[in-house]
Amino acid sequence: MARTRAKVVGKGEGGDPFKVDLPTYSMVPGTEKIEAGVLKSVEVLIPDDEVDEEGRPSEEKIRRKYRGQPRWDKPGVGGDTWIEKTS
Amino acid sequence: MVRVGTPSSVARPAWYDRNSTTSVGGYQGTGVAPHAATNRLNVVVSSGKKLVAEIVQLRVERATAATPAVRPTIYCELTPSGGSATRILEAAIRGNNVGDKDNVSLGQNITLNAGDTLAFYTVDGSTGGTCDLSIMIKFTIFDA
Repeated sequence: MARTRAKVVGKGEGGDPFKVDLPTYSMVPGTEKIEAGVLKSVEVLIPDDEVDEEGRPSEEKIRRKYRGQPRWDKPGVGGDTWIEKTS
Repeated sequence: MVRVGTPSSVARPAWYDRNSTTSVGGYQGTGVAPHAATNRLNVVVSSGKKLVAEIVQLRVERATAATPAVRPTIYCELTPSGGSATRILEAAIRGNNVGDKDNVSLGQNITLNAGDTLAFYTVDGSTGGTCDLSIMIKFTIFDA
């Protein structure tokens, strides 16, 4: 698994929870960055076959792995999620 | 006797023999403060694969008292490919005593198809206080 800091989207509501816009991930407890009550970013673990050599989510790999799935097989997927590699 | 169609003299391997891989995931938060609904862990079944979830366990325990407590909850939603989300598992506590807890597990294996999503959320609308939150999952992915 690749560990990286990722941008969080959503409003924190039942129908629109805070989340990372990637298909498969798990948040790392205690790494949340919160501003004015809004979760802005968090470190996440992402499968190795969904990131590039630098640990960034790879659009090419994600689209290949989830080929034919409208939610994930689309241009730009994962592109603006990455903030920085953390380990 | 004339046989029509493709002979099936070789049985298809069982699911666990079809390039299966074992995966585990989880979220273990200690002393987590009240927070809005957050998708802590997400699993989407990749194309050409299936997934059997063998262990799913959710646990919430109050670590420090709140003023007041508003039902800290962990829940799991299953979204079939192209369908809508349904909550299939939930752990929640209403009490405000340190050590109040709820612990739930999946009663049996579930099988997911490509594009299906398992999403795990936590939410705690309390004011003050903290909880220990735990999500554990073990699953096997194999060729469809």
